[in-house]
Amino acid sequence: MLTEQEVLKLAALNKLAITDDEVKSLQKDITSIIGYVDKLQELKINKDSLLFADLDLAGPRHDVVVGLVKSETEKLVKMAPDTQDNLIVTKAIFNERS
Amino acid sequence: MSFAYLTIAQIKKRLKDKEFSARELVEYYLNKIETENPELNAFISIDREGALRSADEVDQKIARGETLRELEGIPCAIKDLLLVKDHQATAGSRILADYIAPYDAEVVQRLKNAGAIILGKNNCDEFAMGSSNETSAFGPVKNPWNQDYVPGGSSGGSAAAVAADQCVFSIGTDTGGSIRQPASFCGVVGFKPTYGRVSRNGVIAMTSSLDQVGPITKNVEDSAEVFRVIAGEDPLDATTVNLPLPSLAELAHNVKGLKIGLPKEYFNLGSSAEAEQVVAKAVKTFKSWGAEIKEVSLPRTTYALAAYYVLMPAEVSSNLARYDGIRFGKRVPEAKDLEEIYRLTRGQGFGKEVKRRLLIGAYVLSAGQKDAYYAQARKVQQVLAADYAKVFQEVDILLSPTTPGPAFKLGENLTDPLTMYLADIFTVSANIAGLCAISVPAELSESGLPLGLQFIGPAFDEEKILRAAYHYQTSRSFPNLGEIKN
Repeated sequence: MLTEQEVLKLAALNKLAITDDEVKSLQKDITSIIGYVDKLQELKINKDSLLFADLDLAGPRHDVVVGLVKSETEKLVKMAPDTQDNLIVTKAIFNERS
Repeated sequence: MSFAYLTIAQIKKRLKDKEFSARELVEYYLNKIETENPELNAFISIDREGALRSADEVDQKIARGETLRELEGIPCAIKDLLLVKDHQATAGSRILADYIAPYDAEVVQRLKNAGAIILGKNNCDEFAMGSSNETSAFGPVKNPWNQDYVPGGSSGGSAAAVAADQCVFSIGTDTGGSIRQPASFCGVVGFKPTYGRVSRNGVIAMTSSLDQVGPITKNVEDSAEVFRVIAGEDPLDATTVNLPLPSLAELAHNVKGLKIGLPKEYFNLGSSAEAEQVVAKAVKTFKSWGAEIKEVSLPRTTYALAAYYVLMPAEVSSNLARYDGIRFGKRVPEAKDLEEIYRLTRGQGFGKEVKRRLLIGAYVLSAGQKDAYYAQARKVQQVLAADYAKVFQEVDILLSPTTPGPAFKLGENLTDPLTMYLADIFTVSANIAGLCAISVPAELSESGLPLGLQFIGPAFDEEKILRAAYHYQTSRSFPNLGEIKN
């Protein structure tokens, strides 16, 4: 059984606020799902039996900068929840040392 | 004049013969959506004005005697996971409730270029995470065959809308069965092309290495026709390929000598007697047409779902990192600092199933667990792909139930995620092993709900499954919902 602390750690890794009730139900659900996927450990896989899918994939893209026209960048910036002078507003990234 | 349950070919002919106008046709669907949506909830948004404007343009072309393009005047819907320029794109999530797409998904662009008319966006499980359409922030979709039951998921709104004749076809996405499972539950055709056939550009990503776009339609011919329009190489999706597509004429080629495999392990995966009967009956039918039936073995297929529930959440936890309240989507106003913007926005914006998968993703990728889970699942994926490739040297296609049984009741599996996940047990292998597959309505269960039959084919060999599915479907008299209600 995953501990509550482990659930909170996983939430922190995801930058996700979860309530006390959610901690309890996630603890139960994730333990059960991890228990199910644990069956993967039963399979002993010989390294030689591995193959990579032989797909004829499209080639890599050319290493060139594709610029956006101003109207497009303005449109993209406008999608942000808070903007000012064609810039995205956020809270301060650095906090003052106390 | 009846518009009910028309197929693409029927509409093309009737538009050309001027039996009805494109505007009359579009009004029929819009009125149906607007009347039925308060109960069925298959649509999140409708574009009445845009659809009627497009219809008028089609009518003007017809009046001028111009040749119509492949899907000109065909009213369709799009799962709300794909971007349609200047329209809402929610992915079924609160966090994107007000998001307006700045561009068209490649698939949407191709549909527009072919003349299709987009009626609106279909409801779906949040970020395509679900098998019942109950995780949508916009409420559950009901199964039009019986509204006490789920339509399946995650493309549940798409399947329900096609089954209820609210559109001619819909575009869904399939990561572990999200086109085929709801198609099976709703008695319609659901087609997942091989990964790499259809561009994912403009599709809100869930599991980038498995997500694939495909059509949900009333018959196999329509699926093949829509597939031909949406498939093809796209420079903006480096996983797409430039390979020939099957023609519609090939569908009618006979199936004599077609080698059909029955994977014996599939029948130990918990399917109902009814679902197994569907396969047994189909086997008899194909035998009578001269197809060869052969039992085959895929001993490691039982590990496909476990591999899926490691690989998928791992990619989910990466793909959903972008929803941080900074560049787009919702942002909580009360956050005190940047870290809190992230935490609170995501905490309030995501639903329970998304949170569950985010945490599992972080777990299977964490330093102490990565080799045991993620690396092992990648290895299992490779041996499964090799197993299927080997079986496809013996047979042309595989046959199985699409789902263990018919649709389950709303709320029935909501508190038991593992049971919910098992709804994808028959569909997930095609995604994990990189194959193509299609579900075709087969029988009605004792409860009066549809059961589907699944055809699975080798990578990039859609022609064989489409041909087999076409013959199977055209030989049957599976009723549409309109016939049942009358």
